[in-house]
This record gives sequence, C-alpha cells and structure tokens, in this order.
Amino acid sequence: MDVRAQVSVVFHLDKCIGCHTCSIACKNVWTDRKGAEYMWWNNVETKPGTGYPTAWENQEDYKGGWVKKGNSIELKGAGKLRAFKNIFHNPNLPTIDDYYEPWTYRYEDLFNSPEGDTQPVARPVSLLTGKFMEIKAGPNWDDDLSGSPDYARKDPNFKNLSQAEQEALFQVEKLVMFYLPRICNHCLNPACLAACPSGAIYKRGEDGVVLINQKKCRAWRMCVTACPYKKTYYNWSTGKSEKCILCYPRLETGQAPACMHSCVGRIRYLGMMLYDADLIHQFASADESKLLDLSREIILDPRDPKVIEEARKNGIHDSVIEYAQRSPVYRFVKEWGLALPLHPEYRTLPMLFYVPPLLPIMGMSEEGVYESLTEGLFTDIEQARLPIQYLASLFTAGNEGQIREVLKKMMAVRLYRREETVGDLGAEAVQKALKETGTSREQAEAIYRLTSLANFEERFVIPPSHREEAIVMLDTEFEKKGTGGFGFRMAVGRGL
Amino acid sequence: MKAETWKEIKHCQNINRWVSLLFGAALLGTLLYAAALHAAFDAAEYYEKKCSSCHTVGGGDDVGPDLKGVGERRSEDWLIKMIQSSQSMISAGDPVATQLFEKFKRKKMPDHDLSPDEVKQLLAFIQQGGPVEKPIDDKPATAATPQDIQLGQELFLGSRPLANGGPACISCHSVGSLGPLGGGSLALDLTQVYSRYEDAGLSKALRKTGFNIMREIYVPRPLTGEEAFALKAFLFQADRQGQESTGFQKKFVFLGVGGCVLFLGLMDLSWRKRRKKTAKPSHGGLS
Amino acid sequence: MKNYLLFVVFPYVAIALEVVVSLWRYIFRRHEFTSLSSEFLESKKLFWGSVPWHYGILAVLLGHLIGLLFPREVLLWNSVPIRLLILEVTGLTFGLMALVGIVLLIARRISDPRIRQVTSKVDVLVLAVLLVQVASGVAVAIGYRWGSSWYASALVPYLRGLFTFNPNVEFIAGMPTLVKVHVFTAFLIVAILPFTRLIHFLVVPVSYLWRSYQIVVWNYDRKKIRRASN
Repeated sequence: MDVRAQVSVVFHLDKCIGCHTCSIACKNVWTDRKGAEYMWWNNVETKPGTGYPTAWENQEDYKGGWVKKGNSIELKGAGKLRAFKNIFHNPNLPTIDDYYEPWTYRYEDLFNSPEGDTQPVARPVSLLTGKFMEIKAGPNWDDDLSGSPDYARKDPNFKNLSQAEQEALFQVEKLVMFYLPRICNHCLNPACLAACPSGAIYKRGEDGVVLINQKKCRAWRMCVTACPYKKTYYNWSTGKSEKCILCYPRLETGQAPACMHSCVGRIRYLGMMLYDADLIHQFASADESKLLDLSREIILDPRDPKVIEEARKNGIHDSVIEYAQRSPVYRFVKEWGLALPLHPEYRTLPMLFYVPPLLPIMGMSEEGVYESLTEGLFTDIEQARLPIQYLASLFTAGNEGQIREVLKKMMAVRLYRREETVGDLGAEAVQKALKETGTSREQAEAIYRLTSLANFEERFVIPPSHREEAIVMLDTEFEKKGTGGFGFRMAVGRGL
Repeated sequence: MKAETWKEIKHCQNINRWVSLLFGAALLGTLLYAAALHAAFDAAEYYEKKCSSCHTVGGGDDVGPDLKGVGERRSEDWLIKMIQSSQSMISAGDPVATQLFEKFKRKKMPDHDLSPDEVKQLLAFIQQGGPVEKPIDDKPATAATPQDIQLGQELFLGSRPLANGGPACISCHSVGSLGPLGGGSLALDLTQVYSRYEDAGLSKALRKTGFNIMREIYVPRPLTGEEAFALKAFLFQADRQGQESTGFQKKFVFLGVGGCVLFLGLMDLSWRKRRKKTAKPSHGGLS
Repeated sequence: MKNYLLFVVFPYVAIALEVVVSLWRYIFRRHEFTSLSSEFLESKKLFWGSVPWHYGILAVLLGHLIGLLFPREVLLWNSVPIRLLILEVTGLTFGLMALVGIVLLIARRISDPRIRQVTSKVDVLVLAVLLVQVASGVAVAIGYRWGSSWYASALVPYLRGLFTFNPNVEFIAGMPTLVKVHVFTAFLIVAILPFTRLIHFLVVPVSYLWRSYQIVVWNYDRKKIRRASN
C-alpha cells in the first residue's frame, strides 16, 4: 500500500445556478493575460450542449484520454512513439477556433467619438490580431441552450439515445438543461502528465495537485490532446501550456480556491482524501463496467488504523489524516456514494466528483393548463425530464443502474425532509424510500445538512500544508536559521 | 523592496557579470588562437604548395610559363596584380595577361590571397633561383598497356583503393567514358585534360597535385608512381575517345523531385486522420 | 585572410557563442526554452510546412553527420554507381522536402494575420537564414554533383580539422562560392541558434522514451521517511 493524499472536490449540480461567478473569479486571478485570454480554467457549460472547447467529449475527434489495450492502457492520441512521430505537427490538436477568438471592445470610442447623429459603438477587437472582428463564437456560445440546433443537438452524450428520445428533449414544453461547471480534475492517472514529452507536468505527492512546470514546458503540445477534458491550455504567446493549479497558493495558506470561494450557489466542497497509489494502473486498466466502482474503491478509509499507519510511513502529516477524516468529499463520494466522476471511461481517475442533478418533473402544461402529473409531490425519477441514459453517459460510463441508485437516494432524502418539515407523506412511505436506498435516518439528515446548511468551514476542509516542516525534512532548521530566506531552488546567498 | 529581494537580484547580477566575463574571455581566446594559427608567411613553402605544380624556375614552360627571370621581364607592380588575380587582369584587358592566357590554352591561374609584401617575398624567392626541382620521368602514356588503362579506370572509379589512402578521383572529377552517372562536377571535367596538359604536365599534376584542395588531400597521401601512370593512361584513353560527359543532372533532379513528391504523398496518407476542420459550427464543424 | 576569418575564426566564434549562450540561457533563462509552436493558431498550413521541413532537415543533418563521422565508409559505399545514386537521390529528396517545407512555412508566416502576430524580428532572421542554407544546399547538390563523395573527401577534412583544433582553410578556399555560402551559413546558424527559437533543437525530449508515464514530486524527502519508518 502506497498511501498518498489528494485534495479532491465535489460539485453539487442540483445547486448550480449557472451564474459563472466561479469562471470570472478564476479569470480575474489567473488568466487575464496575453495568450491566456481564451483560457477558462474554470468554465460552466450548459448540458445538453457541446461545451468548451466545442464538443470536447468527442474523443473520436480530439483523441483524449486513455484506451484499454489488453490488460493495460495506452494514451489514445499521444504516447511515447506517437509523440515523436507527431512532434512537428500534432494531428489531433484543437486550434483556437475550437475554443473561440478572444476579443475586447474599443471602449474609448464611447467617450472619444465626435458628436454625431448616431450613438457611438464600442466595436469588438480581436485579441489575437488587434483588428476589428465579427464575433462568431464565445466560451459560452450555447449557454442556456442557445443555438440548440447547432450545439445542443450535437452533444456527444446523445450517442446512446434514440432519435425519438433526443427529439423529446427539445420539445418546448419539455426543454431541459442543467449546468456543468468544470475545472481540472487533478486526476490520479493524468493523461496530460503521461503525454508530456519534456516531463514538465507533475503531480504533487503531498496534495495531488497536477501542475505544469513553466521552466520545463517546451510547447510540444501533447498534453492538450491527451487531456480528455481539454483542461490543459496552450498559451500561444508564451509558448507554454497552462492549466488550473487548484489555487495552490491559496490552499497552502488555508484558503479555498478562488472559484470555490466565490461560488454563489455554494455547490462546491473541497477536502482531503487518501488513496492507494499502488492500485492506480490496475484500476485504470479495468473493464469499463467496473471503472466507477474502482474509482471509489481506490479511495481509502482515513479512519482505518492500517491506512493511518501506511500514511504515516509516507510522511503524511497527522493533521492531513485528521482533515481527511473530516473531509466532506469523502462523505459524498465514499460514505454516501452520491458523487460521481465525470466520464470515468476516460480512465484518468478524476478526483473531481459531481452530484448529478435530480431534475424531477413537477408538472406539465397541456393546452395552456398546468397540470400536476402525479398524486404525490415528487414524481418517480424514471419520469425525470432528462433521460437517465444521458446522465449515465456523463457520469457512469453508460451504466443507468448506478445513476438510478444515486437519484433514488437523493429523492429519499427529499422525502425524508418533507416528512420532517411538512409531515404530509406518512412515515411509512418515507421509511420505505430510505430502506430501498439503504439510507438511515441519521445519514439522510447528514446528507441534508451538508447539502443545504453547510457553512464555509464545513465545505472547505483544508489541512495546513506544513511547508515549513517540509523544509525541515530536507534541511536542518539550524542551517536555515540565519540565512537570507527559504527557497528550494535559488537560495539566497553570496555570489561567486 | 525587501532587503532579501534586493540581495537576490544583486546575486543574479553578480552571476551575470561573471558569465559575461567568461564569455568575453572565451571570445578573445578563440580570436587569439585563430590568429596564432595563421602562421607567418614562408615564401619557399608557399611556392612549393601553390606554384610548383604549374610553374618551374628554369625548367621550361609547364602548365604555366617558366618563371626564371620573371622579375626582369615584368614590372613588380604588374606581377603583384597578376598573382593576386590573373582573371581580373584579363577581364581588365591587360594585353600581356591576355596573350599569356591564350598561349597557355586558357588555363586559369587561381587567385592568390597575398598581400603585396608577401608577393614581393615570393618574387625574391624566385629571383634567388626557386626551389630545388626533382625531375619526374614517368613513361609517356602512349606506352600504356590495356592492363594499365584498366587499372587506371579502377583507381579513378574507386573500385580499387589508392595505396596511400587518398580518395578516388571520381569524387570530384568526371570523365567522358564513365557511364550514365558520371563523376563529380565539383572540379574540372577531365575528358580532355590530357591534350590540355600534355603528357609531362599531366604527370607532374598527378604526382604533385598542386591545386588548392587536391594538394591538401593528396600531399599527405600521394599517388604512387604506378598509380599516377595508370591514371595518366586512363585519361589518355579518355581523351582519345573524346566522348562528352553525359548530362545526368536533369534525371537526377527529376528523381529527387519524384522522391520528394512521393514522401509528401506518404505524409498525407500517414496523417490522413489529422483534424482538418474545427468543431465550431460557425467554422463548418459538428456536421 | 578573408577566408581565414570566415572559415576558421568565425566557426570558432560561432561554436563558442553556441555553447556559452545556450548554457547561460539554460541556467538563467530556462523559461525561454520552447519551440514556440504556432500550431494552436493555425494548423492546416503548418502540416504541409512543418512536417516536410523537420523530417527533411533531420534526414539531411543525419546525412552530413554520417559523412563527417565515416567519410571512408561513405566513399566505399559510393564506389558502386547504383549505391551512389540511391544515396544522392535520397539526399536530394530530403533536401527538397526541407526546401518545400521552409518555403511553405515562410509563406504561412507572411500570409496568416494570426501567425504574423507571433512572428518576431528574430523569427524573420531565422527563416531567412534557414532558407539560404537549404536553398544553397540543394543548389550545391544539383550543381556540383555527387556531393556525398566530394563532401566526404574534400570538406570533411576541413570540418574534422576544425573539431580537432587543427584547422586547414585550404580545403575551403578552393571551393566554389556556392559551397562557401553553404558552409558559412551553417556556422551562422550555429552562432545565432542560442539567441533564437532554434534552441528547441537542444532540448529534444528523448528521455520521454524511457521515463515512467507518471511523475510525482514531493515537497519533502519521502524515501527518507519511508526508510526511517520501515
């Protein structure tokens, strides 16, 4: 057992209101620079929809992620020999047109234009060429199902849905959508890292954050192809790839990442998890049907004495173990099984989990008359507007049963709370629903509390990063005392 | 700014200064070394290397004129110009130069990168009688047997290596009767070299190999007498047959272009699945 | 003396610049080591420029290197006409590929407004020098035929002299001007290489072939801790 710690995240999609505050917070902090204007390390896309970059889930086009080969896995669009064959021109690289051409406006024209008969207009100017441009695409061009015929209908997740089912989704009366915020998944088996020829990408052992060393990146561009989530971005100005850094400078000082801190819907949870690194390759190479279970199984119980002992052997600090025991993510993912990884079939073992949206049908408007559909307040999840298969394609590699389990459990918690607060359902019905999903009343209460009432400290359980102790482990503190400062690489000292 | 940051910057500046110094030293070193390599001018050595293969001092006309008494025949000024660049003298219409050029079958004397002072030293060396000449007495080519000619051909082509390890003539030279590919075209086509240099001149050229690059190659690895004779015999025969060198140039370029097109085609085929359009509907994607 | 400056002094200066500046940049400005790929902004035209250019120039460079290391073997190979033909046509093929590639790359830089935004003055210099180099190389291969042979016998001694600190300018002094241009530009490229994006040539990621796929970096000495606790 090789125990490592991982900062992992849960996004509760039922709570996302699609306000893009997270994206703006991230943009303002990290990507408001030349060459990075088009990057959205955090983006929120509408589902059904093609997302950003357009149709990123279509791996037949972008060739991201891993594919199973025999008992092992290999990169779909990159890898050792392929990297050298394709190093002069990566045939699978998305270009900026797959994202959008970034622009700004000539705001000064609004103030400086001479007096005239018409209102002055701030024309859009390309941030690539500096010339006037016509905006044809943006990072959220299909927000809220806009342009559905062009975008939403081409959602790659429709591949297992019949034509009739797809059509039904776009009936005005049945229109359905939800938001999918995405950041880097800081995977356990990152494809971007494996694809980097210069070895510039690395995973931090102490907290699992995946980073790109800007001093080592040589613009071979393989990571952009390899990441199936398209969360590594090429900076066309500096000639380096960049990606979400999970705001590690904030994490190290005990603050939540900017996107999470600013989240209006409070959908985001962050906490430590312990996992067994010895199992990564074996689990990532498993059959597709087992991937979801295994990506939960690789996470270890932080209360297990054996796990604690092994964690200590790896130098994981006691406080990290303690915080892992309090992790909200562990509860959502492991204890309750409510949070699911996005597209586990990409085999990168993502460490960002989603609680799927419940989206019940409350009623239907027929010939102008609104009618409640069922006798009870909540409908059966089978009648959810969004086909189960669609959610399964996103979160369980197509397994509808696993989605159903999650949705039923969420529904049971709702029924439980209805009974607690209104009391019109009858204790028996609630008991039945809880029993069916193997949920105790205490658990239902806990799920409710963490979902709805959790405050800042409960949502973000960030252990101290102990960088001061990390330095002590490499050097004696007495040597450091009396020197110009700390620093691993360029220590301050007298020149030659 | 914090004191520590300043210290760090100062530290980097220190390093930069050292690196620049080191860099400057390296540059200066290379220059000095290069200058030291360019040794002082030695007229005797220069004559031996650059003049002796075409000229004699008192041994009669050779590829070029006998240089005995040249200091009396021509003005020093004329000689300096002529030695520095004979072709510019001819193109400038100097009558003596033109006459000599015609007399010696329009063989160009290479330019010599010498200062006037160095030419004067060279002339003084010639004035004093020049080098001690060892006469070369090879048999004339007319005495060659078919075996000699065959041997000469093999040596020329390189199918039989030269005894002292020099590269085969074909590397740089071509001869009319060599078949479709011909030899190199870096240096002269040797088809008619026999009539131009005549028997004795050719012998001397083969044994002393006095032209710039050839000298550098063959002085440390000279031809043996037997080899020189065989080659002369081969060249004699080529001269008599008088075939023109075949122009393979066009076919060669054609083959190269063909290969290039073939590779571009293979490239297109090998990467036929490359992304050819973006996924954006506004750019024709997602169809 | 002119030849001496151009073909003995300059090459040493060029190599000195190459080594010192590359090292300096690697130590103090490592962040600048990148290929500065522009494929992200324009991919279709790049394919027809970059791929033939790189494959062509690498094959040609390899050919020059083989000639430099094994001149006798090259001459031996060339002593049979059909083998000579194969070698020469292969060389010309790759030379032409590099030429086609560089011409297309230059055309792309000029014609595409996005690519012009990421083109610096140094890039213009690099492309111009490379064009001169490849064009003169192809012209020499066609104009002074069987370059592989005379390169091995007449130019390799000059290069070997340079590398063994026993330079002999005579080998180059008698060469045709076109060959001189080719040799000089070669050293010019060596000289400007560390100042340009060409430095990506020095950091070809060969170690990728044998490294393990995943890289984990710890901010403390994990091995020491593991040893201590076992």
